[in-house]
Amino acid sequence: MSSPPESGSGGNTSDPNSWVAQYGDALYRYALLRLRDTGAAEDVVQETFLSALKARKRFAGLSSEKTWLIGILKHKVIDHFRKHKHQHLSEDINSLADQQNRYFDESGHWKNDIEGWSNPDNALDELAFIAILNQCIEALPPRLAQTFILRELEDHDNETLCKALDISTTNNLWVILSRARTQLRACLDKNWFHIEKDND
Amino acid sequence: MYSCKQASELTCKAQDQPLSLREKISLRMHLMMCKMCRRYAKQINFISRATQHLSEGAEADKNIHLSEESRERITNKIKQSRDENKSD
Repeated sequence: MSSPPESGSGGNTSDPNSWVAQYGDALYRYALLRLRDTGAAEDVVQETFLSALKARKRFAGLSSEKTWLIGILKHKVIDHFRKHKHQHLSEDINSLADQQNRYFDESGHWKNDIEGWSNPDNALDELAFIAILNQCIEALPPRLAQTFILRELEDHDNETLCKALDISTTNNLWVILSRARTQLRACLDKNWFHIEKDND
Repeated sequence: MYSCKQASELTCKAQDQPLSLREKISLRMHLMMCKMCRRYAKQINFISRATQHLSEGAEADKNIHLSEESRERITNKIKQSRDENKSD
């Protein structure tokens, strides 16, 4: 391996020995939200710092150091999915489509009425609502939850997403996302917006 | 004419990528006549906003942090990697 001839510690970043204290928790939270697994989140945070160490001579300071690290972390998260394909539940698109069909009658109309949600944006400020949303996401099959979260929180294109999550076609991606969103909608409806109130 | 099932699928797809003109027109026609699918579309939109909100909250949540052991392990890894690079 050839080492670059720079003298001293080099680099345009702050002292790497302070990175964990400065950014460790922020990166960990970011990773945990997407990977939903504490061990995996710790691993990608470590990998991020080690990659950053190698790349720090190239850090131009155009973005903040934290933004730069998050940029590296985004790739590590996708890499993690790519490397752990065998952990994905087998993708049974037909059964997902079947489950989705249960919401509709034979002619394709909603089986149960979709009731309106009054002022849903008010719920955003309630911690209890965010907790319910989190539970509803947790209740999704892991593959659906991961796909949904990555789609909503990252701006990867369809191809990157399909490759990382081992989804064979873009069409299957739509099936997975429709399924995830419809189930989330039903879960929020039942557990927040139309909860049986006299039941306490 | 679309069924509610098809309309719901297109509603979800529209969250992620622009629809073709044909899809857009057909979806709009359906939504014009179908109150339930209008509600569905609104709620699916809201869920995206709510998920953004959830992530902002989770990323700022001080209760979620690296454990002492992993903090130490990662710190040591960084030092080790720096030492290795100095010596070669």
